[in-house]
Amino acid sequence: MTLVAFDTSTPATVVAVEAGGSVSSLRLDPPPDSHPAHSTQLLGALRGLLDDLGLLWESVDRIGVGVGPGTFTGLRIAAATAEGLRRANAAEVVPVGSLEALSLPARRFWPSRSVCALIDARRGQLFAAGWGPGGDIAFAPRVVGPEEIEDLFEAVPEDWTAVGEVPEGFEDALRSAGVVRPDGKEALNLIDGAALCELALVGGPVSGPLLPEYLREPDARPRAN
Amino acid sequence: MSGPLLALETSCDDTCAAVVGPDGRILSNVISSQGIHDAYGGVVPEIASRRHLELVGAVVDDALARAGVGLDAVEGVAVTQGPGLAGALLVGVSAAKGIALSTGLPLYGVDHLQGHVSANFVAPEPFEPPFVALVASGGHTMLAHVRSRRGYELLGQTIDDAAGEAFDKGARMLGLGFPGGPALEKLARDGDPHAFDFPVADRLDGLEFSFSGLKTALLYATRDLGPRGTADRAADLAASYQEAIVTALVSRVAKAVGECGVERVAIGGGVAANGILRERVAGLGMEWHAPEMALCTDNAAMIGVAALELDPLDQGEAAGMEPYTTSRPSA
Ligand SMILES: [Zn+2]
Repeated sequence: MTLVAFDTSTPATVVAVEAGGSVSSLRLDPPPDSHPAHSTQLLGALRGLLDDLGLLWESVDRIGVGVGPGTFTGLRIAAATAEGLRRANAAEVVPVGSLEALSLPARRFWPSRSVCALIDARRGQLFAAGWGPGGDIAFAPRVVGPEEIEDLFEAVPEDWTAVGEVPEGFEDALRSAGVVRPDGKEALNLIDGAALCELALVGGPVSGPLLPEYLREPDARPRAN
Repeated sequence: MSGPLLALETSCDDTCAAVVGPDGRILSNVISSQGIHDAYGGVVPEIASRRHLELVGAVVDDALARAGVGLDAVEGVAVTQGPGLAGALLVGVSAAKGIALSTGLPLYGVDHLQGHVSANFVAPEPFEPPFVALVASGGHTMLAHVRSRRGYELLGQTIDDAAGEAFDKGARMLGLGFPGGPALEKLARDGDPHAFDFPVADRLDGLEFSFSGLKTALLYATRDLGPRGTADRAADLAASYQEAIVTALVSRVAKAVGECGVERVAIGGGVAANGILRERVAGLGMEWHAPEMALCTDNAAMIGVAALELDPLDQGEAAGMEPYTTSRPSA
């Protein structure tokens, strides 16, 4: 099985290829103060990985796609690119939860801890999901503000470690809820290509359109005139 | 090129895909109108973008199926690069890139307004340059001098609302639904186009358009009349309002024809469906053309036909291609 996986739900463009049981991956972060460049980087980065392995798109059996939650623009680029790729190739498409992918390395690293994955939702909110020590989901992906943090973790009293990005205004709330950060293991705060591949391998393909997990209703205001 | 092109267009609220032959004939032209924006009285960008994502794959499949070709028979992929709504454009561009870059097919980034102009070149009966083109829709109002199939010279555009937007807003003020153009035109049939003297922005220099003053004039007129008076005189208001929009458009077409020395006119965009506009353009007494309605409103066939005149992007450029929301950045 040759598998391609990518995630653009956070500012980083993360791409990976798994072939013959080994994973090659690449992560492209935008320079400081720059916008993410998913649209211009994603397909070139994937092509580069495939070329390095001497693989063609037509040999790809499966495409794993990070479906969020995350920035709407990033989610659109990933899902629409996948819609194009699956039409041009015989590959099946598998949605991968971006928070689940983000949490996976930390859950492996600390099998006895509870792990919460966080992605910046802007507007002073976070996308968050939590997993208990056995790997069971403790709380499903949701949007939370700083004022909801305490209740969230109080409901599931465990030793929590939070991975991902903690935007301003959340540090105190997390600390007072007893949630620790993976100090010294900063790589656990990033979505990892191998984790995307692992989840894409076990996930189920979709037959209809691949739809992002927006977790937020659109602002239903017409274009300003 | 000897085989067909697949084209995608997702710049506003219609999810469109088409297959066009190398000779400019349309093999399929699929348009999925979202419709869901009507309740909001305008296009909601985030809703439009999400809907495009739900539809784009199926619309592409449908276009290929109706054309009776598989992707293996396609020789290029064209997509609207801009201008338009950022999130909406991104869906078409990302899907087109996914197809083109994983198959090695040439990718063509097409300007949406060039698409509207190129709708005139659809075979078997193309309307050939030179001509003056008026493109008027809910999103744009543009006057162009078209000397060849490749490109156009922009003569003027709106400095505020688009003509179709003016129809929509006027219709809303008169209590009609969205989109307002057809409803307002229908109501205007029973009215006197000279009952109210609405402004046509004729003090504007050159060939630019402005419809915001007209919108304000209608607002004041309805205010002066009150709800009851507005209801009583709705047909007159609609007819006079329509008259002002059409006069603004056609007077500038006439001026452009004089300035360019080209006695041929093409009209396009959704507003080209307006019967009074057509009458008035015909009244200019010169050769004129409007593509069939499905090619006047947003569609992907026009994008494919426009791409036939373009050079494809190389693979590096294609990978780095991204949408633009306003006018095409100069190379
Ligand atoms: Zn248009």
